[in-house]
Amino acid sequence: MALVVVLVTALVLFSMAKSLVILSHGEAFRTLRYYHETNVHYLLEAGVADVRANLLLQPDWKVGFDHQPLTNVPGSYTVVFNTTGAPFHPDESVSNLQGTSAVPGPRGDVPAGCVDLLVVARSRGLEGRAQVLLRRGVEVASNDSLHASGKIKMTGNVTVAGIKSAEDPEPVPAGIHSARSVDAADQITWTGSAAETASISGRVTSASLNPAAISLSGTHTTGGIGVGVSTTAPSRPDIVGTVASQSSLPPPAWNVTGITVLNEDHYATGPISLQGDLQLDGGNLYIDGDLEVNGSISGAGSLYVTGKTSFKGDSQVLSNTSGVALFSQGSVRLEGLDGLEYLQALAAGDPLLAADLADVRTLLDDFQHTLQSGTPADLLFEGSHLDQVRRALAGGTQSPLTGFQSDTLGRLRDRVAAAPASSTRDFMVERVSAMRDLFGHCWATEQDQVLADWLAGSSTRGIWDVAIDLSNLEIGEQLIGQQSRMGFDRLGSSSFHGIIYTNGAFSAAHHIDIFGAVIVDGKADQEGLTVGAQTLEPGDVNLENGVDLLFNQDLLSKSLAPPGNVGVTSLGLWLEP
Amino acid sequence: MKGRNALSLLEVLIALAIASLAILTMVGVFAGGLQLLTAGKELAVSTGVGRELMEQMKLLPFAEIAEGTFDGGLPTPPVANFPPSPYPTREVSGMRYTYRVIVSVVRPNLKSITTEVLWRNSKKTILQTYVVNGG
Repeated sequence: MALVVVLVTALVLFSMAKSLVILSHGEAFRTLRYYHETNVHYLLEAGVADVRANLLLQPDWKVGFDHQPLTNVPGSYTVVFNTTGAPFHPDESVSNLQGTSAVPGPRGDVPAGCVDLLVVARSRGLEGRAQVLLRRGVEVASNDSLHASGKIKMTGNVTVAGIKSAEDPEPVPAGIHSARSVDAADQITWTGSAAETASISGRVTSASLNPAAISLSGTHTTGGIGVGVSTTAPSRPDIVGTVASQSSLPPPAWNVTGITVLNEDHYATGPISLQGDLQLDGGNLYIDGDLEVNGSISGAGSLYVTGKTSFKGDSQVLSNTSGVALFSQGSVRLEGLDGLEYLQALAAGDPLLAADLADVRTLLDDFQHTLQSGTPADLLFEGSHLDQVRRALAGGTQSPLTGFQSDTLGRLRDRVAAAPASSTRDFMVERVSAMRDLFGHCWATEQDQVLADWLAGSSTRGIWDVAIDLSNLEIGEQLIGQQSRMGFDRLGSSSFHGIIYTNGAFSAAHHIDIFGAVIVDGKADQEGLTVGAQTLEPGDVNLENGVDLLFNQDLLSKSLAPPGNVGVTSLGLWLEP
Repeated sequence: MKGRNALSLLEVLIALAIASLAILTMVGVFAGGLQLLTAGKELAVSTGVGRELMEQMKLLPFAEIAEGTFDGGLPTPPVANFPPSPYPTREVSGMRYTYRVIVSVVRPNLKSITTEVLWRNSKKTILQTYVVNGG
């Protein structure tokens, strides 16, 4: 009997032991696989870097690698270039870096100036592939409108969309990427109420392998999401060195409460705090210290700031030769004002203002709807429906749209200006005036100057009238591409036009439009940023409460790449057992 | 009748022997299993902390990735902030992981970065990749 009991007990214990062995071995194999997957990932990156290094020295290089090992880890990478044309093996790469027209490749046509690169890496029975498109002269991941080395936190209504360029407003996917590879959840997050949402037209990716690294429940992400995705970090400009090298430049003549106009390069020691406006007429500004601008910024030029940067109000800085509007070693903060709510509050106590505001909304909606109803050729001619709506908005020599008076925006501006003095009032007067300028009348004798100003980025005054009266399809197409920024909902928003690059943290809050791209490349020696109750570390991003990021792909591509360089424009990595 | 129902000494001895063997085996198996689970967890953590430093180094400008061997166990002091944080050590769940970074120049525009993560004196994971100038 005892023997039977012992044997049965031993059987039960044996079963438990076997379960434990299976469990622990399974866990051990999983972690070992994770390690080997990581190894393969870095082997693939090494292969891409090795090919780029060779192409930089010799653009016609097509030698490839056959099981090229690394010295300190097991495994190898292989790159095979096809030099004979079709038929192609699926793992072959095709270099068309020096070509002048597209050539066929195993994954479709390879554009001129590009390399369709496929790297295969193997280690300990694991195989991984990286498909990379290299393009000469570009070195940033071109579809990432927001590239952060830290966490990305979004709150409330946030929109991320993209266009190819200001000149060619064809929609492109605009993704966001966190390069923070820590194996932890919530590297990219969105939170908001049921009435709020985030909309991202491109791919949302995180370098973290954690499956919960991206938490975007309740958002619209048409490009999908991906964890464990690696992209090449943008090149890192030496901001401190650049500013130091310009220290012999003259200081600007600051107009602290009025308009400071800079038409040549200047150097200044911070902290600088401007309550008035800053206008860059082709001049770059180098500041050793912090910069705070509470007025608007406009014009063409670049700002280099070794400290923190803070903008309130409009900041429409167009790029010059470098293509980048703001380099800030320290953290960057963009703070907008909710001007629309302010207008609605004024309208509640002023029936005439309420009527004008309602007319503006109707007319702007009509303008947008009309733009979507036909081609530029159908819409852009003097006396067209679009022209009549424009006159109703901002005046002109001929009749406005039936049922409306001329210059509704002008009347609205005057009524807002009569409200009690406040910074929000001043901001809204500027915003309404700017929109009135955009739709305003332009005399025939002024057309050349208006066009020149618009092309130089210094003014938008009268540009719609010029486009309509001259039936200028080229300008019309560009303006139509930016139509989302002319809607009623954007009337109270602040905007930043250009590329933002920072080594600190980045925060944009309260109805901010960013037209360009944001690169947050955190450095450990920089201070973080405190926003409300939260602290952002260098590299972290905070977008909250009505931030619209309209990605300008060409502007980013031209921004940080020295001519002749060979950069990664897109990168996909995948592992196979 | 009584003698037939009672356990024989031989039966008891065999039962005791089997029970002892089973218990000893179980203890060994449980100990080994737990050890394997702990080792697996530490390997996963060491891989993660290795990646963490690797990605920090990849973000640096090419010129700031200093050639040489940096041993967090000595520790070799950073040269102009290289290697970046979390070098020289990283503590996770009470376990101290020590970094060792080896940077060598493969070609003038290509550097090799190796990150070793050491723990429990003799255990280590190694990751290696290349970075290119301008990338």
